Amino acid sequence: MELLGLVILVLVAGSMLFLLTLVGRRSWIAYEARRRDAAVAALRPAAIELIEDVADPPALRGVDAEVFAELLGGYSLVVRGASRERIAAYFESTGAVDEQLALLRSRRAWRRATAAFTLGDMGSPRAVPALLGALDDKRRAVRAAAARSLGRIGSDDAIEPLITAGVERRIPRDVVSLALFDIGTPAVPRLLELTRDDEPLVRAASVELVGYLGNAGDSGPLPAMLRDTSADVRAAAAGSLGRLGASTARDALIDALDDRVPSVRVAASRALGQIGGRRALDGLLRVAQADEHEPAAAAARAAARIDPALVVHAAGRADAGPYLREAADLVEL
Amino acid sequence: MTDGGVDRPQPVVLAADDDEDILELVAFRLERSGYTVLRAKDGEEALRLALEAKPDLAVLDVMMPKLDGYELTRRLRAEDATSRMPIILLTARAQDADVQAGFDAGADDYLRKPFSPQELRARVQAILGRR
Repeated sequence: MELLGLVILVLVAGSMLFLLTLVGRRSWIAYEARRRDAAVAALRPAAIELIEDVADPPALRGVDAEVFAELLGGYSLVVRGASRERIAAYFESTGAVDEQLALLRSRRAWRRATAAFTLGDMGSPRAVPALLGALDDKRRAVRAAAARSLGRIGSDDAIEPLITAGVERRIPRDVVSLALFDIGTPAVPRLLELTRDDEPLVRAASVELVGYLGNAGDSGPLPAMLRDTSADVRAAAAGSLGRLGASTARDALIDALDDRVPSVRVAASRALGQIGGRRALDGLLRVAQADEHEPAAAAARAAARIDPALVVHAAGRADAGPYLREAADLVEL
Repeated sequence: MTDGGVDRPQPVVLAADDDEDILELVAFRLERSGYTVLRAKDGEEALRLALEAKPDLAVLDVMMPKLDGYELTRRLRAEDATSRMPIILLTARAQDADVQAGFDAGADDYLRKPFSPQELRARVQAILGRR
């Protein structure tokens, strides 16, 4: 009985200690959060003054220095130009960039990934060579973080390595695309060069990105790519011509309606629907009536986009086919 | 500000963004440029301030709680007091469809994030300078 009582006492004492630890920890976390919020509010004006080149940054240590760095890292995501350069210069001056570059060589993958990510927020172009090297890291998280940061820094040198890493599936294509979107229109000239690469997947990825980042003036080389040996390239070129609104490519896209690969005919139809022009209607109606499912449906929708009334009329014919009728029904909705 | 020797009040700009860091950066830049800035942290607060104070221009984030920038723009355009107020949308939503949605809602200009605070000031000055 005494032993049982002792066991119960120990269990009760242990439970109380556990509860007190939880409550204490929670209180400490709440206190730290309030302290950080107060530090953010106090340091935000100094961060803004640095970004706006109004005042030198304050000398900070400890938690304040961490909070200030986080603030600037957050601002580096939403500003560009001279403001962003001042943020990068600050991180250089405090040795933070060197610190992260050293961590990028750590044996621990999580440190390398964190460092790769942080270097993007710091925005220092000096980190680019090391980040390019990190695209070949043995850990996927490190490679993805490096890709994201190369996009954030906006280095032209990163364009081809990013495309190659995406094609080789070392980095998810979405991550590569987002990084190139971050680089933005300055990437277009290099992407246009890569549309002549020997590797079809590189050509396809590059021409697709030109469609997102470029404008109609960049579409010059693309119609010729509708005759590429690779169907992926032809389809990507058609898609980009549509997104760029390249009306000068209309005839080439009409020819692409006869491509032997269905995905190319689909892409050409969609592009013609985006570009418009009655000259495309004969070809689109022909595909809509006679082709297999996906190209026919795409052609019917494209024709309806250009001339809804014509599609409604054509759908009334006996040989219209199900896709024209479906497109006509959608028009009438 | 003076104009021909007569004191004119500073132009009033309404800035609305649920991200306090961005809101304070925008306000700082515009206040340094000589504007009085009203701050709002969500769409409803922005609408209330706009109808009360009738600012000379509004800089609105698109992705805000309670009332997003597009809907806020539509409502401002629907009110006589604010129907002609210039509106600049500031947002990370950068697709052409998003830009078009902004103009369809009635915005006068659209600035994508990441943005240059100097460019924002220049656009505000350009719009207010025409009026």
